[in-house]
Amino acid sequence: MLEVREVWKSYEGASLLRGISFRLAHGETACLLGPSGSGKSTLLRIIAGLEPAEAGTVMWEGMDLAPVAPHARRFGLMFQEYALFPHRNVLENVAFGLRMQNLPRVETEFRAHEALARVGLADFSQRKVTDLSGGEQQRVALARALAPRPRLLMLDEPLGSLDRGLRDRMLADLRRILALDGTPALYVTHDQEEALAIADRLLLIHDGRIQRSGTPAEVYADPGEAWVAQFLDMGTLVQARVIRSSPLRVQSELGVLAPRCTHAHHAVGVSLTLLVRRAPLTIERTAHRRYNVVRGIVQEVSFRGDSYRATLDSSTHRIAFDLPHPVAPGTALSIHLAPEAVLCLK
Amino acid sequence: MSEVTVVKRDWQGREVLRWTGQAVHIDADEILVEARFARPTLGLPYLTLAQGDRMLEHYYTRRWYNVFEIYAGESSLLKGWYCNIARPAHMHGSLIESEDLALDLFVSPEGKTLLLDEEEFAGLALSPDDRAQATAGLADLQTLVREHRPPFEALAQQGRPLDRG
Repeated sequence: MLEVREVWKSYEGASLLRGISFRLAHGETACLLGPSGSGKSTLLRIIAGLEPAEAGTVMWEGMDLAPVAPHARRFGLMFQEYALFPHRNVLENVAFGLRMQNLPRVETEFRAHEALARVGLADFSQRKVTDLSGGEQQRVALARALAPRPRLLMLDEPLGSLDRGLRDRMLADLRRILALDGTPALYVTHDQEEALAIADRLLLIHDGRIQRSGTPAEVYADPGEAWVAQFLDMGTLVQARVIRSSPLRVQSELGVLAPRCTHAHHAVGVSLTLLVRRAPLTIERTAHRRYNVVRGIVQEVSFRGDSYRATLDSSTHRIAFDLPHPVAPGTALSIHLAPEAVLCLK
Repeated sequence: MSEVTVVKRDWQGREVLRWTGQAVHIDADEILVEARFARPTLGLPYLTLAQGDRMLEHYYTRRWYNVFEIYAGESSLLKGWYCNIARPAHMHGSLIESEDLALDLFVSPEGKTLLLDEEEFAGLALSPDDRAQATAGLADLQTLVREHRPPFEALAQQGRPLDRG
């Protein structure tokens, strides 16, 4: 399988990738997620062989791919710009990926039909690609990439050009197709929701490094780095100072908090960055609790489908929470944060 | 992400022209590049190339030619196929290199073929092996055209009307 080891690359004198390492497991969809300019597309180009790394290696099943030209790597590529052949029908477009394998015509057609069935376009084979919707064209491009059975599929912002509703449907489809197909995939996006929907594993890239890697659930349970929590919009970052080591208690601008911490033992006096999540919480009626209580005046409330997002002005912070029921702006609230809502970051 | 540079060289390996495009498909035998015709309008007796015309360029790593499918601007109107007899393409990183052997074949959307620059080809001091490979490449191309095989499948659509954009 794919292994990327300590890859370095600079761009116009500045370090773009600073020691990137990860492995891709069999059948896994890993998502490289990071803001624009974080180097994720460059990393994909290095893996595809379109650019050399300055240091480090890209390996496939233990073999260094450095001497292997892009076309000999047997990696399938799908980009936002997927360029179908306008004068060919759907089946012919998909068969394009197979035409050089010297298969009998029947076999080529069989495999192209099979790839179309995998992307849910079994009945579209004779349609003109110019008559298809954007999402359908995208699926034809995916079928074309899957038909030659590449050993790795690389997708670079493949849904970037689609509108939101269509993109959400395509994401669900893509996830199902990749899971059924079993081809390992490396999916690049700057969109958090897209990454969460598609990935078996997230690789969060920032500042030239992978800041956090794990399943979406693991990353959500413990973002680790402050940047990760911020990029994934998981709540509010709050500065605090340790006032008791065990059990951990900190003094913050929101009051005394009891953060969960999995990284280290913190001595009294140490400064910490905390993540205060928007939920889970309860609204307090009485004021007897000594920690994890945030008091303030409700400023704005917006409906979020399964909750109401309220901005609370706590005199030092404006901080958002997700409440189970609506509260009128101007209301004074005491919010009791559940233990898992306050997290210690690195 | 998929930007590549195409370098066209002459039969002696000297660079003639380079342009950038997007790699659409890369496999062991073929690299498909989408590029735009970037020069001012070029009127040839059999074809007019306009700035912005879309080229789907097929480079083959084991065949002695490459084929440009030419579309008018953004439309799906096929202007024809321009085929260059060339040594097999090489890809190093994002560079696709092709050594052109002067001989060209233009194929119209109706399947009419026009052989170009035969005299120039005859005048090149190619090795007997290169000349034989190039000639075989041309014969191969002509067979693909006649039999409407990829990348000339559109010729099989003569019965059904071609999309005129």
